[in-house]
Amino acid sequence: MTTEALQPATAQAAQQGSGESMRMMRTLGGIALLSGCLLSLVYQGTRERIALNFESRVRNAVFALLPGSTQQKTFEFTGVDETGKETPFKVYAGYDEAGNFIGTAMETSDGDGYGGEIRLLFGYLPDKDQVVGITLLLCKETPGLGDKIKTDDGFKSNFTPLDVPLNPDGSALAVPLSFVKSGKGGGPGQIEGISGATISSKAVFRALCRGTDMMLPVIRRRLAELKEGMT
Amino acid sequence: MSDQQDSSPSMDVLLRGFWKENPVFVMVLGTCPTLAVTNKVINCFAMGISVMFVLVMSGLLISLLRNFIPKQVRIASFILIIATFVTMVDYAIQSISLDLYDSLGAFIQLIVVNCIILGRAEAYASKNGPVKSMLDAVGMGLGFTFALLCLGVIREALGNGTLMMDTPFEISLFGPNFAPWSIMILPPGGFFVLGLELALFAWLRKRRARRTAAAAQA
Repeated sequence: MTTEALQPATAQAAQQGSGESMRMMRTLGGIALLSGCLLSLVYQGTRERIALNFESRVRNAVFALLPGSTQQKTFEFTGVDETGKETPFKVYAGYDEAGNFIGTAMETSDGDGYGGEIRLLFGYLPDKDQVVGITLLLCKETPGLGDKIKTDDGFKSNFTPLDVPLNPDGSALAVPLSFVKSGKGGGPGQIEGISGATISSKAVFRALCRGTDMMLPVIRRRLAELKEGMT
Repeated sequence: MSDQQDSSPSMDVLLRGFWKENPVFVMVLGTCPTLAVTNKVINCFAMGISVMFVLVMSGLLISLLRNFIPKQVRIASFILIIATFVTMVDYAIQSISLDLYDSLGAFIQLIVVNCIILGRAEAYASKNGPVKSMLDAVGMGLGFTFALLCLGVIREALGNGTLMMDTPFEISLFGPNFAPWSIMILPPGGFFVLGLELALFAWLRKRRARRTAAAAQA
């Protein structure tokens, strides 16, 4: 076949093709437009409720962690994390009916759980130098094994309460937290793991270490601000 | 072919998806979410209703647009339409309950690539009118929900000793001394139960076919 013979045929096909592709583009464009309109409507309609849901989930967890708290205020502080980087974090401060400061709750996380990232909220009473409990916000650990970190009473009792005094100049924990096997704990700052869920309980321990190391000194420094919160 | 379908009563279209062409037990489509989310009964309901909503809405729209969509871009158009409704469901579930949203994980978004929906769009909605497409979609959706519940009830009962856990209607089945079979809640349990149920339903169908054959001979 010569090129001359080919040309008319291809030209015709190209013309036909362009009509076809116009049709395709029109259809896809039309459907995309419709889809965009529908989605933005639904997004507008649900956005507020979704934000509210996320807020109330954290809110309820904070109230549950801080005994006697009925009011809440959120603060944004900055601390230096373990790599020496300035990191912003949120402090949920809890107050009683009369507006007296009770304690704070902070979110912390660890990426090396058995099922990926775990995130938790821990309650902290600066006046007593105590951690008073943890609540898992995100936990993808194996059901029946790793997810015992949510339910195991022995493990929970590590944190109800856990004494975390700061050193005299308030720059770090007086006794660094340490991880021990189940049944071997009892010393200051020791957290007993769950046998059968070592990786998951270690992830909780690391998350808590990271959180306390970075946040507690900052909270100590800015305690006055927190206490004035509700007035 | 279309003549024959037109003459069949609409009840048939509706019920076909439920039993004769059940998406999970007969066509063995959509097994990924079937295995993944059926560890709790409430997940089965949520997933089943979500899939049914997407099936019905995309079936309706695709059937209405079936004469405007060029053949070459039909799959792209179907996916676009399906993805729109899936995203709506995604927002809706987040606004209803975050716990439910967490336990369904990525499987709500993955409805987009669920073969049941694309399969019905391609095989039925793009060839039939809107009313029949919707009936077909409702039937298939019910069939899918029924299949999920068949798995979910057994897995939750054995794996956790309850029905409808994480809802106000939770029922404890075996008393406090029951040791849950954790494997039923884990992924292998899904395979075990699905395998057994596929065998059971295949056996039921065969037995019925044998009986009708015997009755026809007699």
